[in-house]
Amino acid sequence: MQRTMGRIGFGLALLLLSTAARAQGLADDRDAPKDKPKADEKAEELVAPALEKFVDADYPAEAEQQALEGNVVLVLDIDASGHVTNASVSQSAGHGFDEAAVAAAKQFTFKPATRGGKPIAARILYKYAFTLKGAPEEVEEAATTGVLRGTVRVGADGAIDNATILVTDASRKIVSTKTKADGTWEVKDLAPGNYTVSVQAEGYDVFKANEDVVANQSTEVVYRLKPKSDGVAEVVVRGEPPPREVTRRELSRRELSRIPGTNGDALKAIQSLPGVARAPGLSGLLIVRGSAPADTQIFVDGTPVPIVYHFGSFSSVVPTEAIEKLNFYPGNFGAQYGRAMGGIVDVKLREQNTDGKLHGMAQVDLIDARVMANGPLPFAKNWTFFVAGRRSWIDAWIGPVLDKAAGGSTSITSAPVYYDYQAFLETKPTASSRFRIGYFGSDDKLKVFLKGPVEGEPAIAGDLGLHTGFGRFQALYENQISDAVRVRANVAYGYDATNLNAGSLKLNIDTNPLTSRGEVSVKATDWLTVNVGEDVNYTHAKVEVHAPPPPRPGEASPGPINTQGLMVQDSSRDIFRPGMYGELELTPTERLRLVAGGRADYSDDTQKWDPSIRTSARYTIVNEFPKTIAKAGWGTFYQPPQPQETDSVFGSAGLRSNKATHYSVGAEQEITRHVDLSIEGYYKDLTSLVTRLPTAQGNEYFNTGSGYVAGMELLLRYKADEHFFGWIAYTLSRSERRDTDDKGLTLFQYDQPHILTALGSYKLGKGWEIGARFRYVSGSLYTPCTGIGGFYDSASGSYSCISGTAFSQRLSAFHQLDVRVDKTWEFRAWKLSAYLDLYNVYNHQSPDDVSHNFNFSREVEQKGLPIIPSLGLRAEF
Amino acid sequence: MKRVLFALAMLAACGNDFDPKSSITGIRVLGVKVDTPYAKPASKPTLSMLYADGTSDRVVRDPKIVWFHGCTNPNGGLYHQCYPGLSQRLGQAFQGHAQIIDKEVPGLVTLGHTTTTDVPADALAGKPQGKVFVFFAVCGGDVSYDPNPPNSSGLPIRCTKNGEDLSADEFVYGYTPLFVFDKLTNANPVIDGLTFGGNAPATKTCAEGCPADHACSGSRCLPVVPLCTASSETDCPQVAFKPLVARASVEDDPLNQSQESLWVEYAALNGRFDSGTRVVNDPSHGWNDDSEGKFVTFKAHPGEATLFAVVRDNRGGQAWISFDVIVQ
Repeated sequence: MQRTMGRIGFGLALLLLSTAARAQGLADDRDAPKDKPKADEKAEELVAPALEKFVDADYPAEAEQQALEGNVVLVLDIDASGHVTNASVSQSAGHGFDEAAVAAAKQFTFKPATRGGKPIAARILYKYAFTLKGAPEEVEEAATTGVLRGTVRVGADGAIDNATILVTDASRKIVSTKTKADGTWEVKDLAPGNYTVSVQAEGYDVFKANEDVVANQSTEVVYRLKPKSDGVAEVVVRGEPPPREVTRRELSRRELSRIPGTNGDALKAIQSLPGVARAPGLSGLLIVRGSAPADTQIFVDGTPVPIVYHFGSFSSVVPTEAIEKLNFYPGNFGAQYGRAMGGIVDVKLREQNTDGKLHGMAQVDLIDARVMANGPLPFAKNWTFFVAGRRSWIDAWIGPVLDKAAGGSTSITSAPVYYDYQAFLETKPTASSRFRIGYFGSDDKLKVFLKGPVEGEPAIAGDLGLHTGFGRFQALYENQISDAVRVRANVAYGYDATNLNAGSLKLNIDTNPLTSRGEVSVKATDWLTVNVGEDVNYTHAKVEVHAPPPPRPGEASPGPINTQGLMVQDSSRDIFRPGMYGELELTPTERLRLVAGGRADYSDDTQKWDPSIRTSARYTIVNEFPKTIAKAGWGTFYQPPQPQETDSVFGSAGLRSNKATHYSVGAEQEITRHVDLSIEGYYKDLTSLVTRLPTAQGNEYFNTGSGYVAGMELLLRYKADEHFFGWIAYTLSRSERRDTDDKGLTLFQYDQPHILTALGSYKLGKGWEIGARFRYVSGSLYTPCTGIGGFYDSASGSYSCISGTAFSQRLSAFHQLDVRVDKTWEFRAWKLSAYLDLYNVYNHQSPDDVSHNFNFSREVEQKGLPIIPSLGLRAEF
Repeated sequence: MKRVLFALAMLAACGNDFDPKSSITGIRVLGVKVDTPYAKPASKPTLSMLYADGTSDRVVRDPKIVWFHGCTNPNGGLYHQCYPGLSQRLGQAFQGHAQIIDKEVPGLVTLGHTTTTDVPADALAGKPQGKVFVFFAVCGGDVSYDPNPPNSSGLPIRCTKNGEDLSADEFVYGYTPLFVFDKLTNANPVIDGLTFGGNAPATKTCAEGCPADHACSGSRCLPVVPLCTASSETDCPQVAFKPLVARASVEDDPLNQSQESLWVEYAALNGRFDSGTRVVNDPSHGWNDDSEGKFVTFKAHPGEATLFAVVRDNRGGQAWISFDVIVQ
């Protein structure tokens, strides 16, 4: 028997365009999925890589002797120039087939994958088949035509029935067929040559690929379709983006816009992730891994911003439509970020559409209305624009409601109103570079006239005004200069304003921050990448404060404000905080990734340098499905004192930065193609915490505080497919502090031992989708009032709570069910969506705080919000 | 701070189910007036207390009033920083043994609704401002020294009757802060009179014949206010009660570089006020003529009622006036 090696090349075009840059040196944003235009227009064309140079594998001797055949499924990483940078085995055939297939595949050359005509890196599954041909008398007469055969899938195992397959040859002659119920299709009798295959199916983006048909051979392909975009910018939320951090969590655009109870707000979706505690009431605070809200920093494309939510936590300051990706680091973040001990939220604004068409969106619900438009800039070649704005209209109805509830004791002179706005121009000077300039900002306002003083605070009467706002002019430049070198830079200048006025109290702080951030990343070798960067903040601040010194957390009430005497600060100051960092990313083996970095920050209010070290490691224990990955990290983090702590009137001199040391260890386990489990334990050691202590001169600040946070996070997740997404997230944690070393540890104000979130959303078909989210969270801590009633201050006529041990009591647990229903109608030129987001479906009013009668002799839990429906309508083109 | 003020705004707009502060249903201290609200070093200001007892129906009884002296410039200017020093001195005075306080201890303990206190000569200690705290306890039974009282207020004292600790309805403890300045002064507000229902009080006696809508109580003619038996306070009629505060009471507040804040707090024995506290003068908006309290006989009972108006400024100054009516 004549035995010859036969091979049949199978190409499985599975494009995993995840922004997880598995190939070194790739910029995240280059892989970021872009916003999708409406369905019946030409979608941003996605073309799979096409094999150009095939290399025969050596047939394993053992298998040949035993007349064995086999198929090896490989995972191939193909860079933007078409070279195979990595080949690993997904399905093994044993008997030496795996090694032979890997050796041959690494020598393949491809025509690279493209999106919108631009070459991109890709990862595909490739089936290398080893077959033994029979004796010459068994060989059929060779045909002059070939067969193109394939399967159309969605998700892991779903098949698409009745999809239209169009096979077009070079002369534009088209042969069409339909897929069967199992997604398979076949076109026979094709002349050898190159064909364009197009797959069209209702509810999915059009898919195209180029295939080669060879005479006397069958070309088999598997295509995976992606569900049509909802029109929302494809936003990805990551736990931490590779390659620098330990944990990675990623949410699809559909998940972000459909989580019940969030009104489709991407930044509010963070609150459903493990490690994020529930903020009390309408506070709008972000509490990450047991840290104070001030310990977590918020960035927009690397530029720090002062707040993340509008007041009342109704919505975030950047709408989902303007967001492309959220990077969320709950801890152990890389050296590129500093001056924070808690977590980091870095919002990445959307990149512009490059399809040359104008797009727009308008949405209205019970709280606010928003509009967005983006497209090519008229009369400016290669420039695009993006403008968006949102304004609350709650002021139209809440004023009369509050007035009625107050029975005439207040008068809303200017009801709560917020707005935010974004305007950008962007161009791509070269195929690998991007330049953007723009302005974005946010504003919140509220004014109340109190006809009588607030109970217990006689000095707070009359006009009560609140205003916070910020604006940033930002310029951003990114360039993947070569496969090995990437440059990123941004600079921003703007204003932050906080204005609070109540009776004789004043707090007016206006700052003008100038920030810059720049990084150069060089892939020195296959296993080493070096990142170096700067991160500089300069702020000019004008401060007008007439207020008593704030009470220390948990201490006995100092009495009504008017009895304390106001401290006055009317001055300007400048704060300069430069920082620099360097990092090494090492992959000494295919399975091991190490990151080692260092950072140095200077702050002129402490007049000290704070050097810190950050390290992380990921090891792939099992490389094939189901993958198992172990990870660990350690780092030091410094956070300068808050401005009021070093202020010449309210603060103290000679302070150092707060310090935290983070430790984390965890694992990620794939369970099925869609289900994975992630578990991580963490410990944060806190030292040199700035603490306020009473002295003979009055309260002063010292670096005597310390504490810790320890916890475990678990995430069991079903990754989004065409029907369903969902997860169960559980956090167990404990957070304790002490003011001085001679005092015992007590629970920290924001400690929440148990945080459970279970959510899911299911597409019913015909444009309907329904979802639910259940949360159970330990109650918030509060400081009880002890004694027989409160202490009476005769100067003000008010009583003060006699505080017990700080934060020693816990409110009842919070639990709530939210439900969301969406219906979408698609028309030829536009799409209309309606949704109902129902908060607190079973109307359980969890306690948010405790209130007392006038002399603190009686106490009652203050309930949170009742059931609230939020109806919304959205139109887009 | 943003969160605090937003919450205050919401709090001001939203009510709760507790009885209002303006309804006196137990022993209550309504004010402590100091003859010189800004005291000078080495001075002896006089403190006098206005109190009311709403526990027994119109039977005026004298609760025990005990004053505790001797806390000057505590750490941070905070009243609770006085506790360690005061507790130690009381322990020495009473040899650490729990006992009823029924006699004065010079410089430490005085009794009665009026007292004087010593401001030390070094109360300023080279600083522009000093602070003296005078504590007091008002008890429907006996005030005792106890080194380890249950439900401690921070001070080693208890209020008991027949060996049982009395509740907050019969035990009030607090303090009066005295600001000490070398040169700055502050006068108490001046109340020139009052109006009730828009009218000045009747001057006739019963023997002279009471005016319409008045009735006799002893020898006095008191206005009559109908008892409200409605189930909701909003369905009850309101009668305006207003102290006539002299405009000259508004002084300059040099520390805050503005005018003083003045407000009036209303309270009633037998009845309540619709809004218990009103602004009289606001530094930003100025004088407020609409500072009257609205008296309501919701949950009241037939008989005499006493209305109180205590006017305060934001620098420790106080003045008060009271008025009796008949609820029928």
